[in-house]
Amino acid sequence: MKLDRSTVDRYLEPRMLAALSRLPLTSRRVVEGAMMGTHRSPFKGFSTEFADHREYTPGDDLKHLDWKVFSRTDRYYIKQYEENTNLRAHILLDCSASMAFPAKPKVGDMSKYQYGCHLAAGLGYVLIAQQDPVGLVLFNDEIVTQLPAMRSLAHLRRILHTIDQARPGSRTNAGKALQGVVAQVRRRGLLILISDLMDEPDRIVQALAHFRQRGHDVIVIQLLHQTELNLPFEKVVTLRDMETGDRITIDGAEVAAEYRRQIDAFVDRYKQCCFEQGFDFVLANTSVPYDALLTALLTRRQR
Amino acid sequence: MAFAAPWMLLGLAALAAPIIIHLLDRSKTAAQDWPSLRFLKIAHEHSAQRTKIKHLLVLLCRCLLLTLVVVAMAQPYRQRENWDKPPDLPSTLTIVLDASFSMGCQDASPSGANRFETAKRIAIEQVKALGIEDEAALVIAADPPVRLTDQPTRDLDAVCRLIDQTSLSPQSTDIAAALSEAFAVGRMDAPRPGSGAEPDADATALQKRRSAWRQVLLITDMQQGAWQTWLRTETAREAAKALPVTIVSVGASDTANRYIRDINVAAGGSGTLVLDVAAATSGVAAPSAKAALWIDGQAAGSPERVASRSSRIKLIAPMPAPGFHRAFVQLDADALPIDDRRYFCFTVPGTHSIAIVDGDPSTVDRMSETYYFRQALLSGDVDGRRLQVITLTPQQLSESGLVGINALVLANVASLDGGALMQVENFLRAGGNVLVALGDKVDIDHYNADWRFLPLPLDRMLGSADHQRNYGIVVEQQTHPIIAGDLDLAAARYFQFVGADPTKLARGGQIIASFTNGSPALVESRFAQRGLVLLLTGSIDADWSNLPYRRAYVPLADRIVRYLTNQQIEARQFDIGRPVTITGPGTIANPFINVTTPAGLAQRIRAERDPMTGEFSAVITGIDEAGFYDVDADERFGLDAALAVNVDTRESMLAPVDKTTLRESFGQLPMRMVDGKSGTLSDWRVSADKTWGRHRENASRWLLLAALGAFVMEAFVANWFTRRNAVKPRATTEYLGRGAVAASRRAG
Repeated sequence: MKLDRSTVDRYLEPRMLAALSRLPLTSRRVVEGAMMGTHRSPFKGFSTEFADHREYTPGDDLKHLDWKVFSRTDRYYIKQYEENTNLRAHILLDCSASMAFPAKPKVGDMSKYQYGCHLAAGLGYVLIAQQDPVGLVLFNDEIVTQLPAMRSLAHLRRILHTIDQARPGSRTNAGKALQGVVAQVRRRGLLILISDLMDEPDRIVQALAHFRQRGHDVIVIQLLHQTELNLPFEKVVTLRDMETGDRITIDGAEVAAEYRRQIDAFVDRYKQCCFEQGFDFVLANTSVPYDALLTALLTRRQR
Repeated sequence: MAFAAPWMLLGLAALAAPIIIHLLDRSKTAAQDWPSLRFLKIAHEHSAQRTKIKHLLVLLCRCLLLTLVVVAMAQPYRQRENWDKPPDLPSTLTIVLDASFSMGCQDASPSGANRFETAKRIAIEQVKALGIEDEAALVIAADPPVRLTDQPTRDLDAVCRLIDQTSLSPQSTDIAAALSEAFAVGRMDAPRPGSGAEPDADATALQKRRSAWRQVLLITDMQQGAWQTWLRTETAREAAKALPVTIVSVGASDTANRYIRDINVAAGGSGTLVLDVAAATSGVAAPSAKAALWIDGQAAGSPERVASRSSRIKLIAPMPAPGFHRAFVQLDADALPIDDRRYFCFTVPGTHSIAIVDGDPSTVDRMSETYYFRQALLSGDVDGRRLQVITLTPQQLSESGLVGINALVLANVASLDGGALMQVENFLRAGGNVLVALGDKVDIDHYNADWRFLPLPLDRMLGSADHQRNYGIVVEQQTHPIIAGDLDLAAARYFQFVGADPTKLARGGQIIASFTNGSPALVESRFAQRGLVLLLTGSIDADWSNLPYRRAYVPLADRIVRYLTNQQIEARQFDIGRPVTITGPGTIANPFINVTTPAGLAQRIRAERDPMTGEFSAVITGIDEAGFYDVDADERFGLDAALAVNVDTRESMLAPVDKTTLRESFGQLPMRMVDGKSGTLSDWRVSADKTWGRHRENASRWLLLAALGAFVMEAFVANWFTRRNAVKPRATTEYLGRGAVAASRRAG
């Protein structure tokens, strides 16, 4: 794998790294890690934080015997502690054709996919910096690329290379792709979904419910462009669907209000779903600097 | 509405621009990429209807805007009537005074004056209100109109005197002719001082017309008959020299007037004279009144009550002695008395003879064929002096010579020999008239072969002697002197008669009555273009019909005989104002005709001989009074001893002309209508001092203002739909953790 220096610099700007270096990304739920770490594990062990008692069985380490309980009950009990483990995270990045909007971004602007790449890079850096393995899944109507969760800087470079090489295309079928992710990621961990979610909300909601059933903690980052949110056209304009190629001619001034109502309802649907599943939801407007968005996200996760 | 620059209206073609823009397919613009059209499609469907309405409204506003601008550039204007008098101009007032006899109507007014007196008072007031520089002229609206001043005059006192001396005419009038006369007079000027009382016409034509404001003041009762010519023709109002007209109405619309429209005179049975009087009522229903007949200055018969509405009444009086008579029918007086009397003259014929050939005589008089017919004639001739009836047998006919006989009746004559037929034909050629009545003795083949004077060939006998079938009589010629009026033939039935084919009628003949099966019953034609032949295909006795027992039989027999002997009674009357033309043979020794009017003025007229025909002819003019004109002339002129002259009853209909129709009939000619009642008179007098002028009222600036309004409306419509749907833009970024959602729910 060759990754030139400029690619790393492009996705991991010093300014962003400086802002993120002090902000950890932790899981709100228990996760299943393979190593000792800073995240709560579902497995009970012998760490520092007391969790429960269990009856002594031969072979147990006597240093964990609770002598105070023995003195009261005349029975042997072993003290159990919550095990801290590392966080296994997967970044799910949408690379469907709609993510390429705008196709020709203006100066200072970027497409939704580029914005999502920066978010993925930043989050990957944060996770690897705190010794948590992170994986990558690129999907459109199916899983395009999948990198396993690893915590080396070399893996970070691999992630950056992968997202840099990928080009948005095909139609979005996030529901189907996420169902595939459910089958692939079996251990409980953190899933970060970065997508414009331009699919049938029911299918995506169903996939999120499956994540919940598997015990995953999920952060949903919905990427929408400023133009996409507000439909700033004042005159008659013809628009072409980037995924289907369909065309429509509209009077921007006429349909703007109804369009905004529709897209608000669309966003609110995901917002409500995330609330019900206990997931975090972030509506990311691409006009906001991605480092500021990440800083805000990590800061809020600390509360 | 007219346009000062009508060619600018070509700019209306620019209306095509917004329409074309509206119809253009704007979906052909370059497409931009968009992530997903799902929300746009939904929004587009939601707003499609509203967008269509908006675009349509915007299109209308733009079209209106363009139209208003273009029309404003064409500079529309309206000719507005303005009666404000220019302060520095004198007036020329031409007064047209309606003097038709309807102006004599006395409406229910406190002053008790009739319409004509009111009109004269108003006219005098207006003339007196004129200034020293003003001129006045006077035209009397009669038939024909009369100029009382040849041209406008500044001698206003003289005009007032003329108005005061004007009297009511017994004639109707024609406002159109009067206004034409007024327009001609009103455009003239009074003679310049020092030009003499009789100015030279050429000099007057050459002199420059003075600058004056001229108008016509027409004072009338608006009676619709006077306006008929004006409403039908456009001659007067299209005249280029027409003047503004102020019409002053002095009539009331609710005044009732009863009058006699027409009179028919006929001889009734049993020596009576029957008058069929057509009485009419105009306006509201008049109270009931009586109509009385006067003959030769004496009341005749009994007065009859006249219904409140138009109706026909019958006046019956004893038949006067033979000779010429003057008569009139008098109604009870009403608001307009001039038309309550109707004059007429008639002549009661003297003695005449009729020969009846009885084809079925009997020693028992009642059994003879002509018994009922003779009895009917004798009952109508009560004094027995006017009709001589001679009864003959067929054999006596050829020997009689028919000397002194006015009419011949052949009743159920079986046949006539050659001598008798020759006698009848010679009688007809000499101008005598014949009635042929059929019966059971008639030899049909002989009639068809030898009686050449029959109107049509006979066919065969129809019906049955046992009265199993009967036939009614259908009148074909309602106005024929024998049938006209109230002759009741409904109850008459024929059981037998001789059928005939009506299509074989002789040339010039006519079927007066038919049987209900279509076969002719009473037919007439002329023989040798002289004598009249009446054919009754039934009998005149009671063998074939019940007609002799019906009450119509006596008058029918009387009318037939009078018709055949040319001794009918008819009312003769003339319309006022119409000249009477008379002619006489060139052998008249005294060609002079003396006429004396009802007022007693004598007129001597000389008849002139026509060099072509050699006959004398004369025209009696000046018949302008209602009443009897005595005439003294050679009897060969065919004149009666008097002419009965009546007013034109079209003028008696007091209903006013419809004002809307009248206003429309003036078209572009400026006019105004003023009520002459005392309540509005003062206001009218003030406005009458003013004059009419024509001013352009330009509407461009109002149209431009309206265009500005249309522009504002277009902008409003174009933006309103958008503004009302404005939605606050969504926040740039939202972070929603579990705690934030819970907090927002609590807040919500």
